[in-house]
Amino acid sequence: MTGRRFHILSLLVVVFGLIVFFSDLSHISYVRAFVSAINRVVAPVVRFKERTVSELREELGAYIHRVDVAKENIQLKRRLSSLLLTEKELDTCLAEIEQLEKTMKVSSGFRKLDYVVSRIVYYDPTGFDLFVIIEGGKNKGIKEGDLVVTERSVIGFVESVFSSTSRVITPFNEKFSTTAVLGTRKKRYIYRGGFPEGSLLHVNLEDRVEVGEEVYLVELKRKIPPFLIGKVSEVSRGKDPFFKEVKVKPEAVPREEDYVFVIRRSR
Amino acid sequence: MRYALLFLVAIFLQVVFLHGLFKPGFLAPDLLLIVLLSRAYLIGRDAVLWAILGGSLLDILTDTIGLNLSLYVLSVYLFSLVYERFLFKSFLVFVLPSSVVLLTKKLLALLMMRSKFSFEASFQTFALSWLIEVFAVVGLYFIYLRRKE
Repeated sequence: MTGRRFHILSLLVVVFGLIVFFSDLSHISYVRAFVSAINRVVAPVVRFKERTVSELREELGAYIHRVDVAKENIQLKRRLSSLLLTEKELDTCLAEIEQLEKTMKVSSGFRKLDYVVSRIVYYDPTGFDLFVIIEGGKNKGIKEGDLVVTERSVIGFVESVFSSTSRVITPFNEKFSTTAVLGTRKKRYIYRGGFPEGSLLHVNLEDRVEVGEEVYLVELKRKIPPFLIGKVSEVSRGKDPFFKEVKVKPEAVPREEDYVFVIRRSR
Repeated sequence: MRYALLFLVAIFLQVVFLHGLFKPGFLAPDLLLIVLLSRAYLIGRDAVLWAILGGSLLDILTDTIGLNLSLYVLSVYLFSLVYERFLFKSFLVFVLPSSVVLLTKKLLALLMMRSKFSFEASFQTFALSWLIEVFAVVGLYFIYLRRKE
């Protein structure tokens, strides 16, 4: 291509291209028809490309998902083997505890607790909270004398059992009496209910009792764990010359409880 | 014949793959222009005719009639003017003018599209696209053009 032809052709084409681009000649119907005809020829290639890209993306996503699942599986397997090991260690510990209990002739027996979950359906209308009525009676195998507790404190004892409900007397009730201990001490006393405060009976003058100390219900056979009855609210020299007068404020507020555990005493 | 086939493959790659990958499509690395520049490096001014053909085909396929035609021809024209100043062929004689021409073409395309349409184009995409073009130009020189010198 000679010099002049090269320059003229190039510049003409550039100017022509610019005019066509900016003047929207491409929107003329004849040009559009031509363009769409060409595009129709290319369309299968574009569709093929779109399909390939989407399939590739899906496959890639599935592969990544599988890899993640495989990694998670490995982690879970490790965790499982570690848990199995811990379980075995725990079993060994339990066996050792049982052996120790046998050797020392001590038995907690707590894990043999037999209980049912129940709902309080009626409260004492007098406001003294002397009793509550709970759901479940003979139909659930509840019997008189069964202990009713929350997670920590004592709600009372089952006094009477009906077909589908039971009446429970609370630590505010004078009919309520049980064995109790002060804190972690071994000496046992008798707790007798009362409103607004119950009392701890037969506390010797020489026994050291302080206000605020916790009073726990214990069972003679030690089949159930200790549950909190209340806290010592007052200690004084009573009328009895041999014993102290110890007042205990019950911890449970039956009116605020919805669900309780009924622990069946072993018979 | 071999070049014509390569040319068509480059056009389809440009339209189907690169324009779909880069948004907006005209910012995509211009494989076709690189092929045209290498043609200009080998056969000289006659490459303008290929640029006219390539620009027209690309315009029809991408619905931007006139844009690629003028920019391709302008690019090859400018490359030829610079390249003819040197009496020898070398790495720099091909790579430097090519890189500058590719950058100019990309910039002009951006300005022309902006003056007609409104859109967002990030600087990162622009720079990345041009860097890919420079790598392609360098690669093409070492793989193919060096043997023709």
